[in-house]
Amino acid sequence: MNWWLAAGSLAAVLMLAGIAWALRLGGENRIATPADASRIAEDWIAGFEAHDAVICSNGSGALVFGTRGSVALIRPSGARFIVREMRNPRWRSSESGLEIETGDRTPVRLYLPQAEAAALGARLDATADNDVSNSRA
Amino acid sequence: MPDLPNPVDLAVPAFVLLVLAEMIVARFRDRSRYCPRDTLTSLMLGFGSTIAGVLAGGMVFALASWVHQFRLFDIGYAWYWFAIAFVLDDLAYYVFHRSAHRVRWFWASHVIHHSSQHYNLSTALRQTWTGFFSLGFLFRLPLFLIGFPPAMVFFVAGVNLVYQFWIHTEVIGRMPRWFEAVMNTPSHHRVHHATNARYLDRNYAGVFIVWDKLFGTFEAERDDDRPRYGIVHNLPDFNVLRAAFHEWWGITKDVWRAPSLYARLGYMFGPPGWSPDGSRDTSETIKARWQARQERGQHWKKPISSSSVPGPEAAPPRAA
Repeated sequence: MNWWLAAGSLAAVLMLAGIAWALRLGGENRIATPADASRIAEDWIAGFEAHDAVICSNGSGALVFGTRGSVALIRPSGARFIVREMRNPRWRSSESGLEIETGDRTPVRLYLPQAEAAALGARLDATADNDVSNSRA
Repeated sequence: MPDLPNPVDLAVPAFVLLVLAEMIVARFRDRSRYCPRDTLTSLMLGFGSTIAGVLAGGMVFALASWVHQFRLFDIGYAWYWFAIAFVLDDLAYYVFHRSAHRVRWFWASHVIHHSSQHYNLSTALRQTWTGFFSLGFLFRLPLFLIGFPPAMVFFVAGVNLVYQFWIHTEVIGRMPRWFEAVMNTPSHHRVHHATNARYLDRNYAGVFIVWDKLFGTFEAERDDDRPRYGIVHNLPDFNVLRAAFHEWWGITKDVWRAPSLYARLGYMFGPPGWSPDGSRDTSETIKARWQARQERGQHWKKPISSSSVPGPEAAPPRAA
């Protein structure tokens, strides 16, 4: 490789990325329904069985409660989703919703009414202590 | 010694044009096949890999030449030696690639290529920056010991890499049956990039899929189990540096905190996900959980007709 090829390759990289933007490829994903959230969690986490799901008000995140005490957090990432399985996650409720630490650098925020966020946080704590499948049998 | 060109350098213009063509197809068929930020990350990783390759190339070639002096046979540059070198290099690639998925040290370098949740031609260019550091080039040394000249081996290795470019696409469904039987294809390689439990650690082939069939690692793509791409623990963002080094950073942290020498070695050279107490997921534990659920009689997939998300049931289209 010579310097001209390197410079040409870099220019091509930037050009292609620019064209991808110009063509409006990708787009932002949204989670439309709890059923969607459940299916995404089951698809991405081996052995995960969804019990029920809560999606946030703008569809930018969801919590899926499993039947065996684990919880999946889903958030869009470009045109795809990031799914994290959690046990006993740390959370904080505020006026804008529920903030959950997943182990990634930035916590995930679910936009929910504050009362609903607090209740969901309490359920996260309860889920960590109890096997959902037993408690709901 | 003939002055052989670098096939990858020659192919760069074709790479660019084909990525562009695939983007245009995506624009009209399925915009989610590309994501601009993901594409930029893939292409920057490809660019960085090229630079890293240039920096390390001289040392690798010098090592190859040093090993070549101990060769068993004198092999010339007749065309049939190129053909034999191509096949044997592809076998060496299979061994390397299998190790790259089964040994965390090599995986730390190779994971970059799998870190996109998209499967398109730009993903093919998402290549490692740390191949030299991980010592992946050691897998080709037997070819030099046999007697294949380094220039020939690096030439056929370049051709191998160029071949693997076009199989990173969802635009092509299945190739003719005879081709699918012998060659690595988009369908076979989609399986390799998938994180579906059924597909984990399968189809390591570079050019000839026969290696997987021979060594028991072949899995055919199924229409009822559409591949989901990426890695088991997908990256949280599109940061180029994170993509390039995250597994090395993970190894460093694990080794630093490891309770024993055994654990340190396990974290470095065990399979990805290995831990001393077995608390983390490896591909074996993931497959076992999936299998257990299959045996409980619960379907892995639950088609939901009201979903706005594309269902996993449909296979990629057979043609663009």
